[in-house]
Amino acid sequence: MTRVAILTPHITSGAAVSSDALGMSAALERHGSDARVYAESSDLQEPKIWPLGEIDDFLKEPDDILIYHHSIGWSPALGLLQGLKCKIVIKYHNVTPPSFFSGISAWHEEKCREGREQFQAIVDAGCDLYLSDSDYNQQELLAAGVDESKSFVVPPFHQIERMHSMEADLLTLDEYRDGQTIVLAVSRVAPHKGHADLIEAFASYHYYYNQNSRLLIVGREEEAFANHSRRLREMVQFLLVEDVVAFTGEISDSELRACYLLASVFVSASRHEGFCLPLVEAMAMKVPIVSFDSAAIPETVGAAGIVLQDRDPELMAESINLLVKDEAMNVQLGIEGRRRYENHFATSSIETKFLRALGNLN
Amino acid sequence: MTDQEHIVDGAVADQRDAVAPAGEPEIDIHEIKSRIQQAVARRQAAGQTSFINASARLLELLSRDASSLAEFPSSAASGQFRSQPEFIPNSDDQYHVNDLLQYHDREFVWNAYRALLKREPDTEGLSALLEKLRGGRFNKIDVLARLRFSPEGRRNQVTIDGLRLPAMIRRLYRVPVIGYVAELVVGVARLPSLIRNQRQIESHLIAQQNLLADHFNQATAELHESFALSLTQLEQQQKAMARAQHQQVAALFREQQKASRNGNVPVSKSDSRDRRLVRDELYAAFENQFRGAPEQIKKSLKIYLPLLKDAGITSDVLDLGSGRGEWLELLRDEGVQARGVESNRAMVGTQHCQALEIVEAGAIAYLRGLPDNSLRAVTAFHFVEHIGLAELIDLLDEIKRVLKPGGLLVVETPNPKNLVVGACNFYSDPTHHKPLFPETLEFILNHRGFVRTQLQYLHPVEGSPFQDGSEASQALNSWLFSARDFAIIGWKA
Repeated sequence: MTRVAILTPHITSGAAVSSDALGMSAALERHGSDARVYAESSDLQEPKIWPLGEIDDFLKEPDDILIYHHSIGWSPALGLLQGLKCKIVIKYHNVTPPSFFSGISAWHEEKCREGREQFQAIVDAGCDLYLSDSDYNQQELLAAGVDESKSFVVPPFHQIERMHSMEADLLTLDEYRDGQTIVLAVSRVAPHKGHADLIEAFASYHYYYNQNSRLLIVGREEEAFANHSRRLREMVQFLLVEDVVAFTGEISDSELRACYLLASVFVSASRHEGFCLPLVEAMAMKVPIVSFDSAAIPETVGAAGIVLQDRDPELMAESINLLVKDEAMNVQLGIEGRRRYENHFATSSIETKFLRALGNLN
Repeated sequence: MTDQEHIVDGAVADQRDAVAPAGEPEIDIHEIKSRIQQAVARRQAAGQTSFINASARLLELLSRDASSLAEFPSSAASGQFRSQPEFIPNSDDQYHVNDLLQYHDREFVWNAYRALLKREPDTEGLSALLEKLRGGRFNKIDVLARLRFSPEGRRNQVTIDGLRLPAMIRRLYRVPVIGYVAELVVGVARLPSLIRNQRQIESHLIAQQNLLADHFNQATAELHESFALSLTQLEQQQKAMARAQHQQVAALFREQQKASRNGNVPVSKSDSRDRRLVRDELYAAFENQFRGAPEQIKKSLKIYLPLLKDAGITSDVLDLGSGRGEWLELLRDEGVQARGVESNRAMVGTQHCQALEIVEAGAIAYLRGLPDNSLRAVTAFHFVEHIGLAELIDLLDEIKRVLKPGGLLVVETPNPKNLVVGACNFYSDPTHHKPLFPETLEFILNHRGFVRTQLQYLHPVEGSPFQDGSEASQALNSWLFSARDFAIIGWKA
């Protein structure tokens, strides 16, 4: 039986990289491998996450596999990649450019700079296989010198089916089902996610198109970005939308499901994404998308929404207006999203791509 | 799954599935995007996107740090005033005596130390040599010789061309008899006293010049500091002003948007303006006839003057709904600087009111435009009964924001506990909303954060026929002849 160790710095519930690591592990188990997830820390009770120190005891044979998820600077990674005598697979999720954190969080800036440096070291290490979430990430790998024959695109595993199996949270439904048009944004509140542009676009939509509307900003807020969060709130006040913009913080899957059910339009103004999982959630929930063109977003969205080339909040406001007013188009894009989800991003489809890619190891 | 969720979930799903055509949906995203672009261009041309856009840009500007000041040229680095050229020690320790003789006074001693002893002078050494130099007992050659041939100077082995001969002659002066003869010979030839005097004057002048340079440098530094400080202050003031202006414009924008949302005719339409003026004129005439003579009103308002006096308030008073301006007039007579806000154009426009400082605006909109902590007292006489609860809360919150800590709020309104007032007289004013119950109003003030509130009943009805002191008479008195008005006095903590 093949032993596979899946390695990532930390397992955090709801984080995209963690979902991918856990999804890989489950898929491999289903196909008869002995798969374990190794991490420095975890905030999950289940499943068991193994401590880093025990990885050497597990991976003994040359045919055993280590899959390392790279998304941020993490010093133990390189040592393990070089020290282990098994097959090495990299899953590249992209690294946020450090400049986004400049003057906001020195820690994040440093970690992302390290991540960028380690990216090149990982490429130079000549691992057996390089997987990436998207074409966008793959292009970075190829440009850095990875052999094309060793590189495959495998979208990240996710927990969308689990969210689908849950009942939507009643309190959330009650709170926001007051006839207002709901515009939904889902992502952690971080400097590269473009919330300021989003708020400006929504304020414009609210005042010039539809005063019967509200914006839900769903996502974790971090202490490290407290100043950034404060600035966003000041902006909300300054643009006179404090009564209709809600920062929900991190919410449960059933609350999230309720938000998707309530939403008329999903918006993203992110400035950097290696994939962007919430877009896939929106597709699965048939909510049409409006976003700005950056990094991997256009290829993830496909024809399930409007991707705007110019970062102009007015264009986004008008797009929201169009999708709210033109119900037929709203529904059509929603269906297109669901179709795209089933064809490309459903767990079964990702699993097939993942196992086929691993088949190239020999 | 409950019915409620079923409905939402089902409704969304049904609606979306129902429109799904059987085949592939053909959506032309490019066509959609060009429609979007055209729509935005149309709106921008019509100026319909400007407020939010301008606000966002303004906020961006206001959020920038005062970094420009860091680039302000500093005199410490480049612009120091110097009365003598700068001395740069030679790396090879070779000097000519003239390299050092070009300096004077303190600079000379200082540079001699740096050249010969390769260090800065200690305080004692500096002042001893300066004293000798300024007193004419030493000349510069003596100073150089003293330093160069001291044990420390010998260790440093710095070469000074042209020092040895004059130094030897100077040393010769100090040898008994021969020295005297020598100095006499030389002295007669060079008129030593004249030279010494001249040296003294020269040293003195240079010392003065140095003092002047020090003073100049210090003054420049202070000037620079205070200039930078006032630049920062100026920038902060500008930012505060921009914020306050934005608040005012934002309040107007919001009201206009609200009006258009509610389907009201925008205020800019001329016929609504005319109708409003008719309404304003009607109410002004009504007040003149029914509110009472201005002199009488002024008299009844006098009871509030001690309140201001005790709190030491002599400026920054705002009167909401100032009407005919009786209270503002009273304050002006007392030397208290105050202004009013009144939305009734007919009242603001009277000659009488024009002599007072009254702004024509809605009270809440006007308050929203004021900076935090900027007023010492806000008064509202017979104002709050004209507005609803939601507006009252907004009003109190804004008042609390603009009052300075320890600021005063006075609210006077009809007393519904007097049944004639509550059931009858209150409705004589067609613009009254609802009477406010005294304890309820006090509770609302407390709830919105005002402290040390005090309820006062005012203006009892005179001439009660129920004077026999019986319980029935007392009850009738309190129902029919008690205070016509009440006031709540509150403070910002």
